[in-house]
Amino acid sequence: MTDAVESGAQAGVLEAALRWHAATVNADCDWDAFTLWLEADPAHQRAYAQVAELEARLAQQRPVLQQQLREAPAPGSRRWWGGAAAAAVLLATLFFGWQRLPLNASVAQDYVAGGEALAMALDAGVKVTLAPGSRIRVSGHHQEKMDLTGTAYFDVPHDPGRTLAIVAGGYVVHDIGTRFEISSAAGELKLAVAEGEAAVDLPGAEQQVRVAAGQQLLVSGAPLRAEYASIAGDDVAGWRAGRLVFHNEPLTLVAAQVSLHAGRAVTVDEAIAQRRFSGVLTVGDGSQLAARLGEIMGLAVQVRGNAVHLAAADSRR
Amino acid sequence: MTPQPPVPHAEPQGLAAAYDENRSAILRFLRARTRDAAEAEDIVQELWIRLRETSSGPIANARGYLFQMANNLVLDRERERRRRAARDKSWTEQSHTLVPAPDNTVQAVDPQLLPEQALADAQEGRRLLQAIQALPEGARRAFCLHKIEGLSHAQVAARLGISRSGVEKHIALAMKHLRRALLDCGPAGSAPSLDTDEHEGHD
Repeated sequence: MTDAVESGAQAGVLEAALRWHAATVNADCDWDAFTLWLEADPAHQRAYAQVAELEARLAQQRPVLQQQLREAPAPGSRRWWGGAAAAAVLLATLFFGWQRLPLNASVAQDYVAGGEALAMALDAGVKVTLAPGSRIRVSGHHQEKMDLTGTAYFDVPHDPGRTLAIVAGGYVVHDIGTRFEISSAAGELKLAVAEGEAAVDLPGAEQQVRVAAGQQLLVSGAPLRAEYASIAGDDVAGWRAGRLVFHNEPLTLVAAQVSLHAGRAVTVDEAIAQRRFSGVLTVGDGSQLAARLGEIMGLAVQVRGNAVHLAAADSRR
Repeated sequence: MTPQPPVPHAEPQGLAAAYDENRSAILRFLRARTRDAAEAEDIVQELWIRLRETSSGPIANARGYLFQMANNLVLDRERERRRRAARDKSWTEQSHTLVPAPDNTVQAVDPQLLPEQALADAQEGRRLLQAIQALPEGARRAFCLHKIEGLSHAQVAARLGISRSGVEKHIALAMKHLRRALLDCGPAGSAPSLDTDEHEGHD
């Protein structure tokens, strides 16, 4: 061990620190040699402290990361779907990536909604309606695992023997029987429940965060905030009836939802990203949504190619 | 708490004797580990108290066990310090977490339900996930197999068809990226921010 560690030190302090960290997991580690190594250079001690901290934080996040990394497509494999917006696409892919052990292998299916909402019927009476421009990957032996990008409405018959796990916006939503909507953007989540109850995992939380019928939970911001609001059952996934209903949602999450229905990217200037919007927008053909939102909020609406950028009215950018 | 190694039989004298015998070596280790003589003294005392509270006994390597306990105590303290710093930093923001809507529909979140630590953890999880997904392909594969799926270096090497030292290099590269993503912009800058083999500390 000591020899290996010393040659590692020549290769790089970080590599050596990683080796020492692996060695200290064993009581049989050569603790005197480790002490000498730590004493030899302050950089050694700093590198080890960083590695130990990083490893501890990784260990804490591992269960969630494991799930998310297994479900998420590898970066780069996302490219194919960028051009697939025109029509609903159904792809069955053998979900047997390098990251999956053979026992866990199962068939995953990707569903992508184009310009219109896509209604799907899955195993065990589960119905999912994908909002336009949204995508969901369904896997698991009973189609009980999903990975959502965008917005969808779920109608799940009660079955105590089965829990759905839906990954969205980096969070995991659990449900055993209810009707609810999930909207997600990068790191942001809206969970609105029309009937029954759903729950969200926040990594490291002692218990799941529950959301009951008539409530919506918003998770957003940095530092992260989570807040409840009341919502009428009819307003949950209101887009199914041609309207978007927002209750005090951060503008970034509003813009993400508007983008889906507008069929083009709607971005928000960083300076106003955390402004809130409450109100109802009529979807129509989607083309007026961004302008309408800007008008109501008194924002400057800048058309940039096929994208729309919303900024503060006095912004000169 | 960092999990302590399992100790099957009760015979406190065994560990106490090992403690007496190795106290100065452990103290020296703690000084090197923390670079803080007072902290090292504190921890060696705490180790003694823990030993008296634990019903632990003859183990194959009592000396190694004590060093391991000492090392874990350092980790626990570092983590506690980091959390406290993160709390202090986010207190102001957290206290304004709820923004009431004009129609008063926003309800207060039960603070017990959403401990800010959980939120900080969630945030950290996202940052980690993004950093992992942004890793170069080879480093990402090796890292995920080893650190996330728990395969050994040898197993990873076999799976990826590369040498063990190749695996180590990939993982070191991955850790370097993650260190940057996590520690350099971590909560409250509470983590040691020195990049040992690139740029030196920036604060």
